[in-house]
Amino acid sequence: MPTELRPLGVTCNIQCHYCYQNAQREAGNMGGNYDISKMLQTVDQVGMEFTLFGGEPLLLPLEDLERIWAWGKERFGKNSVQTNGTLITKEHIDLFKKYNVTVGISIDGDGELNDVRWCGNLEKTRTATSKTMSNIELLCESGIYPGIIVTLHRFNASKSRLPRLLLWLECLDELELKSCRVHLLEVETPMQRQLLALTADENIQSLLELYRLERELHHLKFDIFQEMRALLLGLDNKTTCIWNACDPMTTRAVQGVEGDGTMSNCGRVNKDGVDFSKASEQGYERYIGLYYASQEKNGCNGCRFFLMCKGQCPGTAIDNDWRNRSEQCSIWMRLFEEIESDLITQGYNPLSQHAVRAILERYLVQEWTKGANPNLLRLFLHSSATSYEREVMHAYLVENNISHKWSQGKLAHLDHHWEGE
Amino acid sequence: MDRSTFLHNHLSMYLENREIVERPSFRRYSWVSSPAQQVWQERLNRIRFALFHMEVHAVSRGMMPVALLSFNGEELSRLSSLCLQNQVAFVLAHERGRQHFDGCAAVGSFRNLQNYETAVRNADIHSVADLLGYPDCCYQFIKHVTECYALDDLTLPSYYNSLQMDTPDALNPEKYLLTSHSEINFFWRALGLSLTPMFPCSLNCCSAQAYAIKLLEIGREIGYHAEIAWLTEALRWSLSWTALHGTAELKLPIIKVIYSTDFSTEKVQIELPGSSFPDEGAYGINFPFKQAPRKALSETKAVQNAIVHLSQST
Repeated sequence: MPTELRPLGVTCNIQCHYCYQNAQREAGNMGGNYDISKMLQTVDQVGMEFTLFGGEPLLLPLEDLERIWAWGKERFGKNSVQTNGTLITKEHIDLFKKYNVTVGISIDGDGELNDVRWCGNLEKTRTATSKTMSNIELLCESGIYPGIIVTLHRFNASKSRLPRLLLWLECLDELELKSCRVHLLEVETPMQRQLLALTADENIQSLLELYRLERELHHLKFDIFQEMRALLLGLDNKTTCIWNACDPMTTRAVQGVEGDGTMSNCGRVNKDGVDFSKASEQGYERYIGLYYASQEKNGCNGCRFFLMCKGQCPGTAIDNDWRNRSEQCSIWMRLFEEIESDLITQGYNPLSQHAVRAILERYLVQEWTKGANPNLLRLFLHSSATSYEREVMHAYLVENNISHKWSQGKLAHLDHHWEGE
Repeated sequence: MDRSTFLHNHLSMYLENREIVERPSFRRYSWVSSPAQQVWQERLNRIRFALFHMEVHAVSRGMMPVALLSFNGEELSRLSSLCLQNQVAFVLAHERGRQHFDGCAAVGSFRNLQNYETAVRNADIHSVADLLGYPDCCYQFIKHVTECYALDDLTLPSYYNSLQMDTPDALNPEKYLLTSHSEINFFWRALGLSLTPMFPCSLNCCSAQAYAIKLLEIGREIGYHAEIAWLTEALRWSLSWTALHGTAELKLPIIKVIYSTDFSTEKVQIELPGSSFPDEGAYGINFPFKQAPRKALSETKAVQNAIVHLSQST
């Protein structure tokens, strides 16, 4: 995962009513002053390519954008930006091309579907949405196919609006967009829940419709379903942070670099509006706790999908307490069941149904206890496997056509490519 | 209702939902900002060192026969130098509830250390408590809680024991106003800062407070004026403490600490409004952070417009 470079902190030109950064804004911790040299020095030390992030990063003057991206291209060969798409101009597109910038756009649909991404008043909001849509088309015409992030809520995925959202996604497919990340709404306040949140059933229905739609589309993929499928097969080396036992004190997948060059964590776990520094070491207390705590008590004990989901993103935890499992649990569980069922129909024997699950779970908890967080694939190579456990693992790999090699009685290599990639 | 019944009632849900989970202890922390870290990291280190010195000095002056000092790796050499300077001996020791540190040392005369080791070996906790200078009320309390509930972390029972029976305290046990006895605020023990050798039996224990005041006097006598001013200020800050699934989370205006505690699936939370807030403390939307001086985002006209529109659209 790339570093998130946030020169302007959480400063933004629109006011999305559900934005997970609103706690910081509410607390007055906006950020906004930046020193490009200090920021780039930190990015250089982190050593990972970066995404220019916000708030809204295109509020930066063009000359500063150019300075940052020129450095990024030289250092990493490429750049990326995550924007709401309302401020993109021809000059920006020239910079995108010149400095090899991958563009991600957050938008929840066209017209009224995007009203939650508010811009002061209704007229300005609709104008901004139209601007984003025309900018997506402009980008495509220029040969830049942006990735899209869509958040599901009552204004774009309720029963009456879902058909329109699906139609809109089909339009994006016709534009030959390749990637769409679907987010469920992260509810942080009672107001958000009351105004914006779908019920669990509505979320499930929307996701199932998207899952069905994906099969009909030619270009656009919803990465969430590919990830869940990969997780169920144990092939999780390319899945995103929400499934990977994120430590909220260090958020390994999000290395934020603020305007003054200091490091910060993913904003999704920031419930106090305080941008806490990263802890000096990683820890997996949340996941050990969830493994042992009953589902009735907001844990995951006994859940056959725990190995894949791990309680999901701590930013979505029940009661905004990161030690609990995700409040979206029932939604993800239903989706896992659906994809699990499809895999079985296709002749696979997913981890969730296999005896190997208990073995891998035990290994994973052992590793968390030691402060490590290996992916599932690496657990198959666990050094302490008994001969019985190796037999079970071998059976699993054979049953699922996952090519592998043995060396001196131990698994030495797994081929982690699969047809979903 | 007697006090032990009162305590038992408050602890009951937490204890009923306790599970035995074997895991190593841990302690990690995050600062609220770089400025807070720049100012307070060094201050906390200096306070830690001052406390070492004060306790070693207190032992050499006979305030208590033995002191138990938790240390992290790099602090050991400083501790041994202090012992040498004050002509007291030390041995490495182990004590329940202090696992968040790399080690623990018992400090005292050779004879007192021998007595201490013998008492520990014989599980003679009364003698151990005597040697460490525990007030009798605190010793009795720790004994009662340890024997009845086998809790590793005494934060919760000591806190509940601070609540006054038959007052609003007992009805609203999650909030407690930290007023006159801030010297024995035991929540800072998670950061290794304490003016008493033991968990006080409550936040208003006069015997524990007398001990803490005596130690502060020693500190002033040996010149730790700045450190004592910082510590006594910090002990008066607001704080929140929660525990769930074996992890305690302590939030202070400048830092957040998480550490291992007894594993219960019953969440407990405590808020202590203090009487002081540091300049470096963070703005935030939840307790114990301070509210932003300017208008909150949710109160702006644009957001109010959005709420009206969205409410009408649903």
